[in-house]
Amino acid sequence: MSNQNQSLITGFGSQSFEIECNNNDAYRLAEFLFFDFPGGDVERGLKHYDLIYSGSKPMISLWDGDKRLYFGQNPYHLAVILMNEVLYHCIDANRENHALHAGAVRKGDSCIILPGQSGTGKSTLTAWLVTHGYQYLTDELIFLADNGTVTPVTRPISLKTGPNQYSWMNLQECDDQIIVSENEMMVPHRLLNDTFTPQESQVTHIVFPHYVEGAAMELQPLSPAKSCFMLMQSHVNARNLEGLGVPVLAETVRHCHSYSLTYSRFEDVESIFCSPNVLS
Amino acid sequence: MHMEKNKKPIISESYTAEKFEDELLLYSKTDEQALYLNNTAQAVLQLCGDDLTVAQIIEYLQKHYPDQREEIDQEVIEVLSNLESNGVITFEDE
Repeated sequence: MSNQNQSLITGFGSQSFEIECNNNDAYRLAEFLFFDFPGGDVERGLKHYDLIYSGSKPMISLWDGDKRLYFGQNPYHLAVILMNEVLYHCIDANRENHALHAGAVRKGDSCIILPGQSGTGKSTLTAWLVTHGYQYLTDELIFLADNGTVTPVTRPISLKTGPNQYSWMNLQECDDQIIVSENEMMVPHRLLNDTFTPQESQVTHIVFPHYVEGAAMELQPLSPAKSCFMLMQSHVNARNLEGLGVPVLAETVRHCHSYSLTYSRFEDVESIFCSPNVLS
Repeated sequence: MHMEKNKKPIISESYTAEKFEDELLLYSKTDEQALYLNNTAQAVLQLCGDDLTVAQIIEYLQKHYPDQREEIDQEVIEVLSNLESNGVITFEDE
């Protein structure tokens, strides 16, 4: 690969993005973030960003036209800003699918979505599941079609604290493949489970995770109405959709098994996700 | 919890209902609010559409569920307060 300008095209649905990178390091960062993104329709909308590395101890910057979105030395901070920009525009422009703030994993015919706001532990639980036989789909955002099919926005897994907190991930010799800040990190999902086949899945289970330090584990089945009500709290583009998208969410939950999961220890969670027929 | 029992609850037109067997989800297209209603709340909401005062709603339910007479008064007021605070109903004078 030559050390010259290269563009990475990414996106979802009607929104695409061209990220123009001024050298190999910049391109590697863009690729790190968007390699597994579903891809958008460039004919319908293409937004442009410039990602620039400069200097021997590189200063990096991110530009939206003349507007500088980041300037500094920390790839993690730039990555968060760029990822949030892309996700925001994918969601905002989408009037066909239901954008849900949710993690998602797949195993066999099962597709489990884990809806929840930041801090509920969905990224950590997603990562743990991926290290225990589930295939990664996303830790942050899914697009649900009217027929209940999930298109995941597959990105690196974002976790709150450093690698030492997650001994079950076995990341000791992977420092050069992880982007870190003081309190957060982005981990390529293939480091946790290299089985990955991008494909759409039909939702079969909805688990609303609640990490509560020291809490005893509780798995509570939810009625469709309660599940739909909770799912609406994670529905981020409802205003773009007919009837706020509620009829489609309602139809989806009617065909799924829904649970609320309170947990504090993965030893407890293992009995649910790694035993056959517990989530039925 | 205090409520004037001679007032009539009026259901807001901005809410739409999604029915799930014996449960109901109400949602407002104008302010993206949603509300989950259990059986009791559904019964009260249904009576709100029958041009009854709060006192008449309580009396009706007490007649039909005599063994829960004591609880019904407080329960109806709680449900109506919740519906009002979420903008599902407003009150008008009889």
